[in-house]
Amino acid sequence: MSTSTELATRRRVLRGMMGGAAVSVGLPLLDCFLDSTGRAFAGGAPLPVCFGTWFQGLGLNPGSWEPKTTGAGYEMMPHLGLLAPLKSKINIFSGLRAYVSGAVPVHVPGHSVGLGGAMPKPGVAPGPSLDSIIADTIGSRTRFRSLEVSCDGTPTSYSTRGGNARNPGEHLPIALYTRIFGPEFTDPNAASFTPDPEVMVRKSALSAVSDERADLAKKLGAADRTRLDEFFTSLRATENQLNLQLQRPAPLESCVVPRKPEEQPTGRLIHEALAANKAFAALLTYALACGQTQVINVNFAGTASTLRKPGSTDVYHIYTHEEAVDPALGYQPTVTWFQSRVIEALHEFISALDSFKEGDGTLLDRSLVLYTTDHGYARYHTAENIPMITAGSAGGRVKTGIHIAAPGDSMTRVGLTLQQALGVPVSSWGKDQNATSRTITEVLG
Amino acid sequence: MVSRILSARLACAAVMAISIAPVRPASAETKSFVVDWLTLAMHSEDGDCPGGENPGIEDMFRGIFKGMGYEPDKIEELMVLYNGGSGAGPIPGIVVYRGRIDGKPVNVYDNPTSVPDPNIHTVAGRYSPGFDLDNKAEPGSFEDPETREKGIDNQFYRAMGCIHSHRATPPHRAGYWSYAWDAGKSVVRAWLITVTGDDLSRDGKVTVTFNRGMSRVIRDANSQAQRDQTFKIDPDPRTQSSFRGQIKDGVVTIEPGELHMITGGAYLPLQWDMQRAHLRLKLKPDGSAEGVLGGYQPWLQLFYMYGIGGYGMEGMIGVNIPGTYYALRKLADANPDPKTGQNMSISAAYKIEAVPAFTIPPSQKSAAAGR
Repeated sequence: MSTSTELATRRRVLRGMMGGAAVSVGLPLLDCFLDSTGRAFAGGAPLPVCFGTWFQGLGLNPGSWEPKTTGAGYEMMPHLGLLAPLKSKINIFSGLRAYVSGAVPVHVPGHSVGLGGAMPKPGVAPGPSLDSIIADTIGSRTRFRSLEVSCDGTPTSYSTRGGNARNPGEHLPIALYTRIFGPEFTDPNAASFTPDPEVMVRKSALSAVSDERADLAKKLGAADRTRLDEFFTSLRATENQLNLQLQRPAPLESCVVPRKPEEQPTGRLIHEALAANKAFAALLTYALACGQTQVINVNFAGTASTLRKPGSTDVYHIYTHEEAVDPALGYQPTVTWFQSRVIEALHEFISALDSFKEGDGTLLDRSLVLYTTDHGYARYHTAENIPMITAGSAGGRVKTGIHIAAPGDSMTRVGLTLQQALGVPVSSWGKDQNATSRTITEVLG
Repeated sequence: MVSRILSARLACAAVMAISIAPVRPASAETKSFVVDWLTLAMHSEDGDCPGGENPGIEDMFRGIFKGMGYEPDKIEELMVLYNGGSGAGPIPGIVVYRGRIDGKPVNVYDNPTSVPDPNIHTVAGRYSPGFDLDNKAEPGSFEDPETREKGIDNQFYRAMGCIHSHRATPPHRAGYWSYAWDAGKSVVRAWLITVTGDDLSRDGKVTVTFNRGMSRVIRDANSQAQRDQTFKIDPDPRTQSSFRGQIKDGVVTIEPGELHMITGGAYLPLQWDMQRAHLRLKLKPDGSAEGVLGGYQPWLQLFYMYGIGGYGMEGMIGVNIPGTYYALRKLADANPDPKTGQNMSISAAYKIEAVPAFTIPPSQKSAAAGR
């Protein structure tokens, strides 16, 4: 192993004891950590990949977004025109559906199947969600296993580690800023590194508790020992996170601490959601670039969206039910107006990642963001032809600039493909009719 | 491999022929269809609601609260809680129990006359697809925009057609009904139509049957019914109707008769008991069929569809349920009750879109059990 490779290894730390707590101190910042392009560690190890989901409720009008041709070189449809400059970094998946297993497919197929792999059973949501599975592979050594945000003024999130408990979305940009860049933030490029005494105390306390575990376990029956093991399993996860905060993080060239966002109203008006999306895009970009997390989840507008046009008497979701199709236009005009704002927001988010330069590339290049929604055609609330779009190549693990038409296939094919691209050791994904072992090989790099 | 597949297909075809053979004459030709879409037939136009379109959900709720005596400030406070239908809080309770009987709150969906008639606005336009069911071209009746027949009876559309969620102009399907039928396709058994005649490529007499399948429609990737599915026919006689008819220039019509069907599932009428049923079904070159089904239906069957929808029907679809009850009752145009004179049936017309299918009749044993 070369010297530079050794230096590039994040696990190479100095260990010692301080105040009874284990302390790990990383090596000081050296120029040789990165290669000449800044796109990889000097030893050749790639920069960490990032994964994200970006969700909006209520679909896109069929026929308005699916390219006419498949494969590379497709022409972006006018409804997605804003994304055209990013076409070479985007894949579009059309024709995919959620098999609803005899259920009325209202507002659950997209996130349940596309992000969870299955339709919910009575009282039980599917899960863990795609982001959680991927986070277990790529995000276990970051300060935040994942970060969830919601732009519609609610804590809505479709990220779950299983069961009915969802990872709540942060709906205030300023709160997200404090969470990421508050006192516990460690600048990976800072010249000096001092372990946070508060973290050390917490770590120390947990270690002390762990020490007593064995003694306690001897006095318990088998069932209680099992429960104690489960408890310590979750405790160890916390310990690991704290450990990370006691280690010097690997330097990340593009990491800059952002400016604190201004307080802004968050509510149900569409322009407030657009503003929140813009603020979150900036903060999450910094969070990824600074190695605070490798997995993010954005809810722009939840299923049955209650976003509203200023002065309107009804909300987006109600328009899908109530608004007649304009005979001349051939679509619901207000619903389509909302969809256009959604595409604006998606463009804003992807562009934020792509504007973050890292060596010859951008943060988007080492990321993979999945866009999806709950329905195909909102007017009917259908579970067929549900749009899915990916942006970014995850450091070359995914080919881009491709339109894949997979009519009739379950949305889980995309989820399976993304998991494999990001290194999750899985050969099939999904349940019941949505189970698949068919990877979309055309996009695997 | 190809020959194996071919053999399998031929075997299937042989089984099919054997199964179908008992229900058709030796020389007959049969075409079966599964109904992909069945939606209220309508023809919305600007200005067809003289009182204006009925208010959207939020304004409808404001009107309800005002009628209940709430002050404007309190009404706006409630509307914040309503939040586009996603909010919790007191609103569902207030809306659902806004009825009053002997001064006590009652569920307005179970007791639609427990509130005064809100007089929802109804259609006074010129056009509607449908049929002249009573052979009277009364003033104010509709004209079919396709056939140009006058005297069209479609009072169901007249009652509902000024509600935002029910408005549509062909070729677009009626808003709520397309949503309801599409959702229903996922959970209710298929509607089947079979046309039998000596030669369906020529004019002549035909027999038309309506049946229910034992299974649901399978959709293709575009969310439409998959063509050429095979359905076993439900032996339940409440789902079987047969009509004498004719085919002329590729269009099938029937002699008026009774049509019965059970739909079940969410958002659709549970039971269909249509009198003087008329059908105009065009057999298209691509094997599909489309047309119009019309007749008189008990208006209470239609009201129940909305009433069962309850708060969701009002808070998400914008249908004022007691208003609908009163409108259907006022516009009902057939089957007067001998004692009260109140018409108990209402004329209605539905647009049908169907794709080719295969049907397997019930075995004699199951048919007997169905009876």
